[in-house]
Amino acid sequence: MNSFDLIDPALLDAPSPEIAQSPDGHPGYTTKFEAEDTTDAVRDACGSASRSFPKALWIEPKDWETKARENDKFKTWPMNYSSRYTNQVPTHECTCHSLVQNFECAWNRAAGLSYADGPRKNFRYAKTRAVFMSPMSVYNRANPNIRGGANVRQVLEIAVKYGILPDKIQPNEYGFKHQLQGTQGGGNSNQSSGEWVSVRNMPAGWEETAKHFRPLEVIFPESYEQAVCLVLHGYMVSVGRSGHAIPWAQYLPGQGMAYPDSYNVTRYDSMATVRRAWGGAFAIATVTAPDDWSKPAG
Amino acid sequence: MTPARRLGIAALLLVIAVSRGGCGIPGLPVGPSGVTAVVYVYEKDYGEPPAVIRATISKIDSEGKIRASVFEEDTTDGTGEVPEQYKVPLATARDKGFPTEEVPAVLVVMAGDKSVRFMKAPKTEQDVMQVVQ
Repeated sequence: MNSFDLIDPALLDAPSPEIAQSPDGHPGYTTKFEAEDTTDAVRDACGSASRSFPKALWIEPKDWETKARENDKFKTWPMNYSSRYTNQVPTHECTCHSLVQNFECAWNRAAGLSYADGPRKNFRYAKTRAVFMSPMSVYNRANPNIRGGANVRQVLEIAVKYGILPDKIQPNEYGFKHQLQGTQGGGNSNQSSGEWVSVRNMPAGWEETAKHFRPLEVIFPESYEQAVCLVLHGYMVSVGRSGHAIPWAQYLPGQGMAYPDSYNVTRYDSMATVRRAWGGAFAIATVTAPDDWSKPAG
Repeated sequence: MTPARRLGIAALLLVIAVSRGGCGIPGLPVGPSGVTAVVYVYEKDYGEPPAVIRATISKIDSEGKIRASVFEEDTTDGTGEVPEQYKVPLATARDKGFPTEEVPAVLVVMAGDKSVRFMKAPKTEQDVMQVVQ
């Protein structure tokens, strides 16, 4: 995970997996969604949770490499606050998987949890106190039609207003009263897969659990440089581009950004893609915290 | 060395410690076995916790003996209130002048529900361990 290692070209600017793996050949993040997800629109969707980029987080570009080396040394990349991959294939849930990675990063960062190697396929960190969240619990409200995806604005608005439900798979027994399968897609050993559940059929009283897992402050970068600064400070930055939504999680100087893709794999965006795709990006800065980390929903 | 000279040196060292980092030791220090939690209280508008501090917090927490975490001032629980575990650390931090540019963060050491030590804006792993141990 050293940020100065050379990127495997096969994983750089990969075509949207959704187009290749989706039965209908369509992406979950369409050009229509991309056009709708302007910074202003996404910011408005967050209401009082919206935050401008704090000046104190600015890092001069000439200092980016130094900061990257520091993150390599101390394992303080957003990638180091991600304990797992998710797997959406062959659904259109990408914006929600990206949202959930972003949320879990903010949660783990606050809880003092870090993972030296970031997410690893078919692997669970021992003794972790992470909480796995369910993308479906947001996607089912964003797109009741199941197929066709959702835009960033919709899923952020839902998460801020209602919160997110925990996945049925958890690394520990937390005594949650309400949980939901993570995805209608493939899932993995850290993400449950199951049938579609509409909002109407969510577990009764689900709001009482979801409210404990809400983004409280969301930062909207107004340039690609600010997006890089956020990543350098340990914030995941979710973006939608090229038919797919993903969370930037590690800056690789001179090369681009690494992200935990919702297909059980880490992929990379080039700096050209970063410069083009930052519009509508967001970073969850703070999330609700429990009275006791061992009882996340009280 | 005479007792008076020893006392003078000790007093000088204490003054240096206090003036250097605002390290407060109210009452008698509690030994490591009494420490239950350490919280880094900060306001992101004044800057992020230094990477070395985040790493030290994670390291302490991973050892499983002391719960270590970071608390951003605007964080609430699911009901909109300050989480119970952070009420005393936040109050302690504010009592020490947080949040301002001069005091952008405070590390608070807890023994049960009482704060027993603090340090304003620690910069190094040694700063943290000095207060925690």
